[in-house]
Amino acid sequence: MIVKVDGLKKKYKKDWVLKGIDIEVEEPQIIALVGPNGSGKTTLMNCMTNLLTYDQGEVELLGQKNTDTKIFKDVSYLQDNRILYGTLTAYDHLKFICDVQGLPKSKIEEVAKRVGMESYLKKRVQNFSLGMKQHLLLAMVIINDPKVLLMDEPLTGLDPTSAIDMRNILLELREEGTTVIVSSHNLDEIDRLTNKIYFLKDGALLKESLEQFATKEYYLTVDDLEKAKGVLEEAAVPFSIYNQEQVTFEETDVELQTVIDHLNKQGVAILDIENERVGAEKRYRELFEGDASV
Amino acid sequence: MKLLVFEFKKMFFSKKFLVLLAFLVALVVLLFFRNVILEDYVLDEKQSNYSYLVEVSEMNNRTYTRQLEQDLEEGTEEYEEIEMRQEMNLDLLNTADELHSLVGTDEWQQQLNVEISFMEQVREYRMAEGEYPISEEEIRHTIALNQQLLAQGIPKEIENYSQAPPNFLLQVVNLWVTLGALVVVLLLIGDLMTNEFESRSINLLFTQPFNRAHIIVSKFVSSLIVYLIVSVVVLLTPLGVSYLFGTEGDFQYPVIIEVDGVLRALTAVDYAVQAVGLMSVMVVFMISLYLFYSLIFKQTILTLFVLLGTLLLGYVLTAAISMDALAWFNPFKYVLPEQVILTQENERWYDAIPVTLIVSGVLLFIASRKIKTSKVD
Repeated sequence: MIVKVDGLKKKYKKDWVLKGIDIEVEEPQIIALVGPNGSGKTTLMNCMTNLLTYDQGEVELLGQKNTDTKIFKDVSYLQDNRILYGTLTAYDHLKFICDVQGLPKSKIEEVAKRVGMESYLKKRVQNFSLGMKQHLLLAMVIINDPKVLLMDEPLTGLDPTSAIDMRNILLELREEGTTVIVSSHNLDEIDRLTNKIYFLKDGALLKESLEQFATKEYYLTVDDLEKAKGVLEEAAVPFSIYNQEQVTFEETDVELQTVIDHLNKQGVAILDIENERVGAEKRYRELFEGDASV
Repeated sequence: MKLLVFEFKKMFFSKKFLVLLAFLVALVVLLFFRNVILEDYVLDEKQSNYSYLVEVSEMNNRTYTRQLEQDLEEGTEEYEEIEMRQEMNLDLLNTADELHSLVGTDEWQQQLNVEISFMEQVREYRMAEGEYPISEEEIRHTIALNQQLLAQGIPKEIENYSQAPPNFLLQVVNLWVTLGALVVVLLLIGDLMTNEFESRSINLLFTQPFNRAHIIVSKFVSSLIVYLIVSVVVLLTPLGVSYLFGTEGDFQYPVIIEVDGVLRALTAVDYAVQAVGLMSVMVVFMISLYLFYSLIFKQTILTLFVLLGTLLLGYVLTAAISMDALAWFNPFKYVLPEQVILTQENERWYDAIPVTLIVSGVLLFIASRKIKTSKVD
């Protein structure tokens, strides 16, 4: 078993933050951990890595209990950038990891090149931008080619190019056999990374495969919007009007061809068809609609 | 070892360390030039002091004359006593006058001999129930110091205003061991561990494949190394600056100490080594105590507050309660080590070194155990 979390419970004062979390990962994959602020994503990861105490449950990573620090030879945890030391350089951080992990120094140049941070490797972290810090954090957790990689909000502060680079690195890691558990607010990126999503709601874990609900949303531009509305209402097609300009509907509700047929039959000309993949975001909205923190 | 290098780098390259080091060097250099600038002023003060003693003797003489002429009847026992005191007082007056005229001359041996005579005269005068503003302790120390200086052929330096390397070094050592080192160490290590908890950077160390106890050991050793570096710089700076700009000196210069009521002399080098050695033992204890508290409180201000409170309480109890027999059992004996060397009553300066180091070891051991289960809540 790569990851085994069994009945993990964590209480802050009187409130249960985690209410019996179970996770079992047997094959290398990317799992996204999604939930609004304060839902317990970071707490869960901190408990899994034994940084936080928990009230009940057991955690095993790569078959070893999480209390054994030796697991960190093959388990890495990307945390927020407060763990970095401002007075030291990126090189110092990476050298430290190499030293304690028993890795050759050549890995430093290698990983710096991989995450694209060669130009500021010897600069002090206190002069880094948020994105540069995220690059360093990423380099620090992948330098040891981990078998399990936990990542807490890795996309924070990244520009679109860096976010794409990070996504590609994570996909490469998955190909190399690394299990990645990643928490993020960026649902578009999660959609592109994985279809295995664990939603954390009210301290409980809701495991979903996006394939169950991944769908396309269509946006049709027509020559006569009012007439199109009447036609579709008469045909009992579930739809809505987007921005007072387009007819929109989801693939799961009605097939595109059916809508086209209805409109064409009544002489409504379709000028343009756009579509958008809706996955994590749609499910997220369904689950958390009405939550103040969403 | 690898963690130690990392910890050392963190401390050594911190702005705080570099600023503090530069500040200390500047402070020592300024202190030296303060001695240079105040050279004439100090000689004037010394002359003023002797002038004051002359005035005291003159005033005493007037009082005795009045008593002999108006109040007392000639031939009585009291009359003879006052007459004797007046004679002794006149001798004091003459000697003080001679000392006054010798200030600033090159006749240092004569100056020392006259001062010894003066102190002996003061002692005799006091024994004859005469009042004079010099204590018995000052008399004893001055005589002992002057005798040592004469025996070794070393001119006397003015305490705390010297420009000679050994004496300026002594001045800096005394400042260093009297709170200086404690304050510097507190500034250096104040957030060494607690800041790791406050900023959550401890999480980086907690998610690496090594025994967490190594964190305590490496933080302890790296702080000790940083302290030693600062100490070496602080102690070499006075030597450097006084060799370059100061006067000649002798490292055999005597420092008078009291052992079981008997005055003895230590050389300036021996005194400096003992004082810095004791301070280092105290610093070992302080760092251990800090690491121990930091794992309990995980918060800088609170940890420092409790640490300072503990040291203060230990010092006050040590000063207030006389426990000669148990002196070797008190790890707070070296909070201010200067007096421990200068006055050794029924105990020796090194008595409490073993227990201080053992207690430090125990604190480090507990901290090493505690960090294994420490969490960032």
